[in-house]
Amino acid sequence: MALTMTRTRTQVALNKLAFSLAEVNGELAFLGSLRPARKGRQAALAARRAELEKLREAFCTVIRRYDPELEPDDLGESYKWLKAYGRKPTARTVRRYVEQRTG
Amino acid sequence: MTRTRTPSEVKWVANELAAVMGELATLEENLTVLTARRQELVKLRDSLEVVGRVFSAPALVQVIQPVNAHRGRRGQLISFLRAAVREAAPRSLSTLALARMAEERLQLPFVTRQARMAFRDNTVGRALRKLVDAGLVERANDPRDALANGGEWRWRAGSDAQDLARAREAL
Repeated sequence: MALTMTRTRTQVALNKLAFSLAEVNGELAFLGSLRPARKGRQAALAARRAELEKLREAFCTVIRRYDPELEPDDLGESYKWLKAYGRKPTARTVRRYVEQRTG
Repeated sequence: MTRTRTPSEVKWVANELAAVMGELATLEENLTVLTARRQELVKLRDSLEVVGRVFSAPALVQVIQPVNAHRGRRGQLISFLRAAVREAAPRSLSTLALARMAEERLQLPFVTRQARMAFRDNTVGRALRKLVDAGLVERANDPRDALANGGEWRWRAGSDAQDLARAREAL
């Protein structure tokens, strides 16, 4: 991949960064809303939460680099990622998510 | 009245000690600035790497060659210089003064005197010559004047709005 001499900031790049951060926020909120899991699953979910926290920090740092005047902490949540586990946020969807993350 | 005579060897040692301590103090100061900036950049690099991985480009850090990027945002320096010279009109400003103002405004962390001089002579000087080529700024001194202390620059009077707009687009 050849690098360009300019560091032009594009709306596409910012959209992607913001959307990805919203997805991370959504998954974190989702994890926070789960009832306490069985002991065997707690560790795996905690590991996923730690991974998401790290991702969140990375996205916030990069968005601030994109534009120091942006406030990535104010961004909301997106739940598009949940579609991979079911069309609706039902108990079955949640079970699939937990099983996949802890299986 | 008795005069205290400091032995020459003690005087020499004291002088050397003062010089070495001075250099060490400067170094320590530079190291503090550099260490803080290094930490910031390492954090940023790691964050960009993580984001690259999320965007399906896991090996970016191994592939990408480092480049010396623009100071601040692209075009920021030239915009600043243009505004500064224009604001000072009809007075002229020296390259040195403009470089100092730019350093302060753009918060450029120069660690050595050489780096600061290179910025003044190469980067600021080149940007000012670009403004001269675009017809926005003119030299207020004769570049062949051996006694002159660097360049002097002033906003070019008589450029009408259209000319300026065209020149700005050309930059």
